[in-house]
Amino acid sequence: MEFMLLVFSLLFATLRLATPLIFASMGGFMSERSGVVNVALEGFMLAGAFAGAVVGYSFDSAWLGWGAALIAGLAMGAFYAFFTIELKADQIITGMAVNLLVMGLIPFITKILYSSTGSTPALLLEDRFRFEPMLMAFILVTALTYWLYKTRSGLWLLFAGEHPEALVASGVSVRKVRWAAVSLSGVFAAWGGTSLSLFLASSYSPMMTGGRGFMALAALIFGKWRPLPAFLACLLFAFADAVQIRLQGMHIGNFEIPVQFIQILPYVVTIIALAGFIGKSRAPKALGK
Amino acid sequence: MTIPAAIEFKGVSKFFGEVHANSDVSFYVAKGSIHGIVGENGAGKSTAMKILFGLYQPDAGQVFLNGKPVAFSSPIDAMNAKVGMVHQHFMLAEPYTALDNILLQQKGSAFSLLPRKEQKARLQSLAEHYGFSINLDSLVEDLSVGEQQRIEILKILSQDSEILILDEPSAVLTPQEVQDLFKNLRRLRDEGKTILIITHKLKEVMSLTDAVTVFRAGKVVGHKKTVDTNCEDLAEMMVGRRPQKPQERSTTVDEKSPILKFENVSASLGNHSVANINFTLHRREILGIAGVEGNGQDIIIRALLDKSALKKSSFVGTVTSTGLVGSFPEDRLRFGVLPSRPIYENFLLGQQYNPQFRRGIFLKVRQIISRTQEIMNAYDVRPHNPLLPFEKLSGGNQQKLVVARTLSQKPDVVIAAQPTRGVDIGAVEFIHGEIRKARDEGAGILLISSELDELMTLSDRILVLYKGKIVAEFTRKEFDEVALGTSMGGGR
Repeated sequence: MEFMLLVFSLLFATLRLATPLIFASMGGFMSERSGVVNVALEGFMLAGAFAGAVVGYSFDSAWLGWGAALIAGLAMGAFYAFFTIELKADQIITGMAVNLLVMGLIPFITKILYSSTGSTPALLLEDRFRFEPMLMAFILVTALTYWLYKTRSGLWLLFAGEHPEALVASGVSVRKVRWAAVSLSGVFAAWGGTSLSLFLASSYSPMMTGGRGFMALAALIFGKWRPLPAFLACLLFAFADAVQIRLQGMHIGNFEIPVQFIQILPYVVTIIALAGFIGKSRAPKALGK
Repeated sequence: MTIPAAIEFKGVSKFFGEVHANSDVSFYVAKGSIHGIVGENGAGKSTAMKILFGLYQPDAGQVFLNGKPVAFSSPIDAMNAKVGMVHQHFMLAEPYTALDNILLQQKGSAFSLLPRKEQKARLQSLAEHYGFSINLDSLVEDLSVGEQQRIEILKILSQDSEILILDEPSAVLTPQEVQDLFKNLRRLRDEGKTILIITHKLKEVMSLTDAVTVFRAGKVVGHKKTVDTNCEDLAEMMVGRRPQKPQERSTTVDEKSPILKFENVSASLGNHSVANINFTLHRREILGIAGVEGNGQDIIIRALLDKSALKKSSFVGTVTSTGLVGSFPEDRLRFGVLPSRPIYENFLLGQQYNPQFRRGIFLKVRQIISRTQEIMNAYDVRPHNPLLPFEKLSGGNQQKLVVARTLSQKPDVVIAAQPTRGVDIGAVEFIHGEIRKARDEGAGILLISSELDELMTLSDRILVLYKGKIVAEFTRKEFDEVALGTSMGGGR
């Protein structure tokens, strides 16, 4: 009985912890499949987490926070799209710049709003999400999979990243497809961020994403740039995270394993997955071009 | 003429800065005919076709379709006017199905579902109508080049195009696939389609087309009915002079000095293999290896140069060679060069340990550049600028540099794999000349080619490779196109 309880709580924790990863990796999916490398997911997530927490707290409503994350994500995505698509800036460098920009901007705004550079004030427990983002993450993956393989615009996305010349030859603007995809990438990743601040926690705290943007990118690559496998990879990484939390404070004999040592588990799993089990993962051919 | 020509160019010019890519180009193409557009690389034939397809807009002159003036601002306009083009590099995405690649072309709202089922049926019946065999559900990467080309043609036909432009369609095909392609094209013509084919293979022009237009240096220099001309005339018009007849060789094969020996060699690579390969190459000899690509040529090359690339422990037999081995790779852009790096760095590849070019772990960049300059002048690789990125050179000049890099090191054994693929007549003459020169200076040359003409002009002996075995050997006086072609196809 106790064992079953443990399994259930571990499974539930996995699903909860996977939510931000799933959103972010679907964001990465949109952008990378359209041919734009996206290492800015981390920044998008932070922006979403922050915008969601501030608006959610101000109006005592997680849903308004969710809407704010949408707008913040759209703005971040469009900003990134402008530099990479219109100005043809290097995608990796621009992505890292976006991350740094967001990391610097948030404490600045927090200082103005709350006269501190740390966390934002917390929502009341009954105001934050209980399970909704989790459900939406599943719906998003299902919808994206269907859209990608069944509709005309899904085909456009696939070709934008694989053979943009062929898309141009068919009279579809690669530029527009990429703009749409990268902007949506911002939205999805921002929702991932705000699932952290409004669902897993109830406020924004500095650097709360803790590299999840990159983990989501790793999941995407591990899932060979496909929505469903990427989703499963997110579950794997989240499971490692759930186990890690469960293992904190564990003893071997009289020796307590340092908590920092246990906390690296999800990252180690990510590295092993990428380095060891990836097999033949083929990036979209026009990625980064 | 009572029926207006399907296509007519009147005084069309196109400039790129100082370069006159097309100047005052005029010609017409009769409806329902196959029309050849020939010329060397850079003669302006591609520019003219890109104007017709809406990729470029003319600076002067006018294009007419069926007697009506047209001005396409993009390929979309051209396609709407029922003009379609099969590009030399296919517009197909490899990881997706043939069907999806064709569906991409069709208009429809962004969020509408793809009509896969109905379109598959429609395309299948269209393909059957024209006698194509195509599996629409297979991924493009699993299709042969010939099949991919059929997908491209079907793509155009599915839009009811009346005019088809094919850019160097036979360059990537095996002889058998070329025959299939020609059969299909003739059939399309008989259905009333007008077909333009850009090529520099004159034999194909003679066997396939109804009329031919010759380009040289941006101008139209000739317009003939195919029955009224022949290969020599066309070649003369293209180049502007009679192609030089190669002199008969003045040296003889040194039968007593073998420099490369394959004895009972068997090996495999990927999903193909060779078995029991035996041959000897002598000094001052050119030994041709004929065969359609994929019959084991790559294994022979690797058995000599890089056994570790072969399938683990599949190699048996002995390969002995004397002296320095040099090679031109069969696909220069994949195996031979770094396209985005400067020419002098590409020239260095393979000679980086030569003390002439290095001091300890450092390169003597100045010496490398001046040596590259010297070689580029000697082998006339244009433009004579070693600092340019390699990819800025034309195909012919790229290959000349690759040939120069190898032959300037004075190798004893030369592996020349497809040495003139994708280069124009001028460069072919030059490269053949260099190969003969290397032979006369004492090298032995293993010439691996799928071009019968090339094999027959250069080789002293020809071995035919089919499915990993040597199935026939011909000495120079036995050379015969039909016999060679048959044994390349596995026949007797």
